[in-house]
Amino acid sequence: MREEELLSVGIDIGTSTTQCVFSRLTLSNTASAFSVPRIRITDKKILYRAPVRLTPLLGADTIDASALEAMIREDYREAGIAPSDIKLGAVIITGETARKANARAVTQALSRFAGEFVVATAGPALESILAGRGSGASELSAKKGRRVLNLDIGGGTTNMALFVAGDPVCDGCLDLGGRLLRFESDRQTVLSFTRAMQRIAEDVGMVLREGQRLTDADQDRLAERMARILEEAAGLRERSALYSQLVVEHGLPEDIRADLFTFSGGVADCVYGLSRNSADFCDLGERLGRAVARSRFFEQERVVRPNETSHATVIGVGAYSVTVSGSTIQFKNVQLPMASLPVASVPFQSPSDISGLASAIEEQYRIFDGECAIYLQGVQSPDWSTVSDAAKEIARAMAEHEPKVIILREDMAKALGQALGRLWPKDTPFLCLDGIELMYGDTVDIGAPLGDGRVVPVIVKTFAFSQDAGR
Amino acid sequence: MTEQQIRAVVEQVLRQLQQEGKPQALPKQEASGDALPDIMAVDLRRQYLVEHPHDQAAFLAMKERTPARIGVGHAGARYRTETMLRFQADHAAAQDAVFSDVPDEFLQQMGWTAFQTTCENREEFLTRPDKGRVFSADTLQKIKAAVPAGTQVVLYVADGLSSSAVHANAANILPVILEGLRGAGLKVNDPFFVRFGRVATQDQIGEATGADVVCVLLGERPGLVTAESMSAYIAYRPTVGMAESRRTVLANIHRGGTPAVEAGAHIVDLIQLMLEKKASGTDLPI
Repeated sequence: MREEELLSVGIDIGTSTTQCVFSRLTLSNTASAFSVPRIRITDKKILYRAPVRLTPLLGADTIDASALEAMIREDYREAGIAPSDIKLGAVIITGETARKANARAVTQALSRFAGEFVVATAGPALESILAGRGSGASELSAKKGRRVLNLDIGGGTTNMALFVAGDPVCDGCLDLGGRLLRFESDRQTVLSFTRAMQRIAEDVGMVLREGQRLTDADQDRLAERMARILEEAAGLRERSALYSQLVVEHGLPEDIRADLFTFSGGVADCVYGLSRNSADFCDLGERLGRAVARSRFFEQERVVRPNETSHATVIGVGAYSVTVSGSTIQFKNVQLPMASLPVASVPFQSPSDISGLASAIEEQYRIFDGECAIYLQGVQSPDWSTVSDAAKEIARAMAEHEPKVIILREDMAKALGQALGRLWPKDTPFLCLDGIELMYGDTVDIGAPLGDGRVVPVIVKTFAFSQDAGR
Repeated sequence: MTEQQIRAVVEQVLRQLQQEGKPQALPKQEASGDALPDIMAVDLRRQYLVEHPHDQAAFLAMKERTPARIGVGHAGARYRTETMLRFQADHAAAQDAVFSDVPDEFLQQMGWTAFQTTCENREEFLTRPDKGRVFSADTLQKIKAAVPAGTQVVLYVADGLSSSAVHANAANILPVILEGLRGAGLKVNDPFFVRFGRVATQDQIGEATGADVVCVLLGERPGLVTAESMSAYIAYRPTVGMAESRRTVLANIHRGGTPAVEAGAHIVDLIQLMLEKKASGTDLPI
């Protein structure tokens, strides 16, 4: 195949700001001429960064959907890119905004408008990992052979992910950001604050009230306590009770060990002494950044400024949320793209797991009401008997179900897929992919084939919206 | 220091060395019946022998990406014993792969009929490439008789330069290709075996059988990374003396390269594409 270029969009709707970035991904065959093709994304280039804008809200718990869509349309016009040019991408709703009442509806509407295979995603873990990939922390860990902890400090949350040899090994999220406390235009009078902010204030012996005036010293006390929470998260200080109160879903493990730290997110620019490039935010972000710059993080020259700071998440979303499948895959008569398939993983790592595979798969179909992708780790360089025996079990368990989607980690999808195709009636639609690593409970979108039909793009997303916000 | 003093020092050192060099009673080895650990079983990409490494994890991450023998440490200016032994063992495996025959028991187990090129023995095969490309008229007649009329795809295995590759991959790759092609409604022969066979045997076989596609799976010249690598050479209507560019090659089929089953599945697609486009090699747009 010749090189194939794909335009991708990333849109990040955050607590304070909304950003949009267009990138060009290059797909090419990296295998030598006499080998099975190996198609990979070989280059990522940022084409256009739209200006950072405040996220439009209607009151405290609703996003202004029409204002948001108008903003994004404006970004497309400015970039000279039509939604129909966009081959793939993702919209992520991050931080506090993900908890707004209409979050799900807004992102889904936006993803439909934004291009052919643009996927709505969210979730603290995904956000942490994408921020670390977008900032360059992931690449830094691979290049330097160091354990790099990226802290993405946004308006509403701080998303942290530890990268080793390029891969995320753990992540955590805190209710901590620059916009937990907002001021009137005088930057002293309290306009509003979140519950998490009140907890932080109480911890340093203050009680916040709207309309109250905070002196510079008061504001610094709050910012410094917040910086200490980050030290606690990163293993630089013993963890306090307040730390656990601020954890969203899960924090970083207690024995976290990082060699280097990188900061990204809107507040990071203040950490590194850069100015925030948007108008005055009238919040605690700048002080928080300066407090982090004075903190233990900077004591041992272990802080590195990453390639991207305030755009880290949006670049992560636009350029790093897509993976391509292995290049030997099998599919037949399936309708692609396939949206929002929940992933049920079934243990299959060695030939001894084969007997019982059918019942394990059937059980997952019961749990997921019959509609899910079946994820199997697979066997490295399997024997023929492993492939054909596994195919019989899988074919039996999936016979009555639609859609038939099998995703494997190890390189065996084509052989398994061909075997499955012979076991089911002719022209049965199915999709059998490999080269993708997933976790139980992930949700995936699978796009139309690329690279002369040899690979499909896959975007992994997570369950992001709480039951309440989903309605 | 006088010459005499120097001599005295040297003599003392020599005496000490002699004493140290005296054969010591070796610790008695109990005949436990346990075998020595198999050094060939070690995955080199996960082995790191440097003492007091600065960052072992980072080095191991690099090793995952290359079969090169890096991170092996040293003993003085030389390799460590373990590294040296493994190097020799891998070299021996490569030699064995070239110089040994695919055993008859394996041929029987696979149900293959064996045909031999005009080479009389392995030495001749290695020194006379021309003889390894052709069959006697009699043998060619037998091959033709073994392939049913109307066969569209002829599939066979040849030892090439590695009998180990045949042994390691044939049982996994053949059923994938056979079931794949037959499942698609194509007529394929029951695979046979060619002893002392080179790639171009497929040209004579193509002409003799009149098949549309001929696919030979054969052992690649072994290296120190693996002795078990197999290649597939596939040609649309091959003819004797045709340009080499008409062959489609799929190399590097082994446990650490393309898994045999996946390579087989890819070959199924390739052969169907060749039948559709009536071309192979550089003429086939992939």
